Amino acid sequence: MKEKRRSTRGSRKDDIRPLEGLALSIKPFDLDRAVAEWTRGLRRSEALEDGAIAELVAHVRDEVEDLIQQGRSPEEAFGEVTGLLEGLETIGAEYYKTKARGFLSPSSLRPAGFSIALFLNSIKVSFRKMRRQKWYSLITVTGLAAGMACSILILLWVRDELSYDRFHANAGKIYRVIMEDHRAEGISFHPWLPFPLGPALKNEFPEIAAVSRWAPEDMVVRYGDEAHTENRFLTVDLAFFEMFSFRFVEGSPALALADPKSIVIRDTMTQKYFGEEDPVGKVLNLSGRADLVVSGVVHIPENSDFQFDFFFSFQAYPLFGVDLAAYEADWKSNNYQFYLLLEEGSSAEGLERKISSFLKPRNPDRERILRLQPLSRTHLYNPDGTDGAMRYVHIFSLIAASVLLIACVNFMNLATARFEGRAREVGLRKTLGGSRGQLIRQFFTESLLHSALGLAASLVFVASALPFFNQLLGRRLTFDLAHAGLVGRIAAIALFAGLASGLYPALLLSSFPPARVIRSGAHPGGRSVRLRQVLVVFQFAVSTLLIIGTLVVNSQIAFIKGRDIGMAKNDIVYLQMQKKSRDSVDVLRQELLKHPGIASVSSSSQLPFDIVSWLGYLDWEGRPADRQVYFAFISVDHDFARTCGLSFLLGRDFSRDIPADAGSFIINETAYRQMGIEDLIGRELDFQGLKGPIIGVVRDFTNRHMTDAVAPLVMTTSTRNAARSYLLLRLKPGDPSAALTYFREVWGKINPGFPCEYRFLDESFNSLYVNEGRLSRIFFAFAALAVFISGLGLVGLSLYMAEEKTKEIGVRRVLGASPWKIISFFSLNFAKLVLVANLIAWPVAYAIMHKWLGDYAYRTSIHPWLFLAAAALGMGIAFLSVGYQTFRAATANPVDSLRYE
Amino acid sequence: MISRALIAASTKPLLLSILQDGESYGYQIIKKMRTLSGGHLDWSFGMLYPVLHRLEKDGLIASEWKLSEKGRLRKYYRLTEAGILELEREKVQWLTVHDVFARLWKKPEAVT
Repeated sequence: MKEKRRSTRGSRKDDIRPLEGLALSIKPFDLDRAVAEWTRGLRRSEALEDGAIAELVAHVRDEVEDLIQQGRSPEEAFGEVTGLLEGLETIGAEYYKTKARGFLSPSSLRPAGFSIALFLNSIKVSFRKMRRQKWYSLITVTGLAAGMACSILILLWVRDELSYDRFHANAGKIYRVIMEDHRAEGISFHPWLPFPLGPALKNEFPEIAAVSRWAPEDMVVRYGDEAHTENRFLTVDLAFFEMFSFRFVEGSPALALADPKSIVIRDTMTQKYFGEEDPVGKVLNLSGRADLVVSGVVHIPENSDFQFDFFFSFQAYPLFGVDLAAYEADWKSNNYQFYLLLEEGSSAEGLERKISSFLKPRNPDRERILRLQPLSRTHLYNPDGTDGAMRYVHIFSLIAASVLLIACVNFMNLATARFEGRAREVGLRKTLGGSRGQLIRQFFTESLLHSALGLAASLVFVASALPFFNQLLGRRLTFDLAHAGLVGRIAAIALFAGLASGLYPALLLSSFPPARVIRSGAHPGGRSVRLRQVLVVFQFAVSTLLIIGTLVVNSQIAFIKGRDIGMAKNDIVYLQMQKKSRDSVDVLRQELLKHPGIASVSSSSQLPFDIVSWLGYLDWEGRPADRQVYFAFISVDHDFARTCGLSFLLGRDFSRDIPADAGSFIINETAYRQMGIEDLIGRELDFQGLKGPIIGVVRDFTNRHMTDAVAPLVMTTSTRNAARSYLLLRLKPGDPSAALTYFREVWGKINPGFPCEYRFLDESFNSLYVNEGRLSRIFFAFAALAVFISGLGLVGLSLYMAEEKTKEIGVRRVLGASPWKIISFFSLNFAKLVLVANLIAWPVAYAIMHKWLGDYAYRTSIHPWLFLAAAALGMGIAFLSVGYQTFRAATANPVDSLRYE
Repeated sequence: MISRALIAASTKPLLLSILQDGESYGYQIIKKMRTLSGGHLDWSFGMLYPVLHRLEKDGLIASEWKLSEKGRLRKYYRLTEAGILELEREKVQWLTVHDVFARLWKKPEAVT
């Protein structure tokens, strides 16, 4: 019909139609426009499907046309037809009457069948709705975006964690050998084994195809003028590069280490030493003791636990003056790890049974059982099989899921909160023949659309936040959407978010009997209000949990940093020495002490706060039969205690004036207590055959990571068991630059060719706790996100509440309530929920964090104020989120709000 | 005036019967019914469309949007195979009822 504007004269007073959209008009009547207006009115109500609206419009057109042919003016005809149709309420009621009499069967859950048109229609309707409810949509989408970004980042991290050393072609057949060591004080599991064990096992058991031992080293590497101390050396057996599939940039894995004089370097190291030159064939000098020829350049991926820069073979040991035969005969020291490669088709369980008691004949007194740990588990699990990094994979996955759920809750809450408004729509739609399945689909389309928009935003966010996240984690994660597996998982996250968000609203809204809504306008509120409260409680409980987690981790870090570690760590610099420079320590000390800025100089075999060398059980004079102490040891010189600021509990320090001190010992407080004799001073200690008196007991200093208790320690000036590779300089307080310049000069003069690469002791101490720092920052980031999203949800709810309760607020104001009273009334409702959330979160947080702290031998207590702080923060967020909207509503003129209603 | 119950019961067979002559659209159906019943059966669109949708969903009729001769879109309904069968069943039932009434009302005097 191309009915062109037929105008009628003037306007009629009955132009005011019950339907919105047909406004008072004094302009000539325009039928097309009137119909368009009327249609818009129908659309706005959301009660009718687009198809139904189109059909109604066609109907109206037909009838109007008919009436015009019968002689009515277009305006009269239109008025008559639409007047008959009355408002939407009437339309719905009309439609409803037919069904209510049971003439037609009730609508079923049977899906209406998929059609593209229907799907597109759903999307169109959803978009229209989102546009109309900008604020709610913005809140939901922002929350979902934040939640999904968090999940995607964690997903990237988890994927990376789970991918460690899985890329090796033999990954499924490589096992690490673990020792289950039964000692008086308990069983310990560790991968440190005697040097000859690997080859011995391979000779004995045909199931083993290959074995490679390995031990980390540090060396000074020199090439031309370049000389650096390198800590990431790995000595391996020849089979190493054949067992593990590291890609060779140059050279071949099979031949790289065939010549004992060869060395393989990592691709990231070539630039540092060789610039643009081809590294292969170049000679590197190691610690001034051996020259090795670069035979290959290897690429070590980030997701490997073999983060080493230089690889050479044990066959090169003789070049360093090491007696390899003596090593091959040493079954006592446990200083080597090794991996074995199983023959195709052999069973690991079977082999484990066979090798388990292999060490027994070599040391019958001690129960030492060999176990196998698959390569795929070495990164994630501890040697004893308990969760290592896997624990954090679980914790962070759980946190990511919780944060995502918090975001889904926002959708659920805002969707059900606006229920009253939609109940009528739903009722109408049902009577219009929309099946339950159709309705459910419409709601899911809506939630999925929100999640799709959230996903788009989150991808942008992830891409831009990844560098910061990497910095936070100390990783180099990549976000490569070309990877199908990753895309699938991200899609799954978005799908999960969409479905989780839509599920409850869809079921609740569509299960609802239309008769009740249409007839009475009653809202089905009860159930959804309660659920909304439960969900808000859930959001705040998770947020509180994360806040408390962050606070506890932070207070533990503060505790560690602030704890008296029983020694000085400030103003001390140290330097790792090689054999040649070690021999010059006495000369160095004499020269260095000439500078007024240097207080003392000492050397030791290990850093005092990171002692990893164990001697084993020692005997001492008068040892009670039931006493056994497993000793750690450190080799030091006479100035060690003074340089490190150790204090004495009993006895005295080593003295240069007493020659006999070369054979005497100092122990620490823990050892003293464990040894169980009060008058220990002067008693003889048997240091594996080296016997001498105990001359002093130092007060405990933190000699290991604080997850472990202080180890019983014996200090000796003997270098029989370990070389003193660390030079320690204690500087006088104040500007160290002059003293350090002097140090470099002296060092360069005495040890030419050896780099003076010193470090500050406190920095190295802090780097032991870098993981705790990361954990706290990650916790903080998650907690902030969770709080942000939960806060957003409250903003949405209060927005809704302020809209909904305008009248109530108005009435209260008219009756004399002050705005503040109203604000506190409404805020208190939310505050109650936050309080309940806290009460739920507290015991859970306490249990979890108590367990976490249980890992530390030295730990802070969980102060009650942490919980109160978390509660206060939650309350603060709630008041801020709710307060503003209520404030606006409460301070508005009550007359306006009443009129509005 | 025809009772609501009867309207409800007769809507489906009436609709199917109207469509057995060929496809039609909402307003035309209402008009036709008005004419055929002499104004006694005045269906409102609010009653008609839900029934049409339901019948379509039950597979008795099918619909199609078409351009009218004036270039406007209209939704046309027509009977499906299932609809034709359903109409036959309905016919049998209504004729049975009709026959009974016819017999009953033909000779009321004879009974007394």
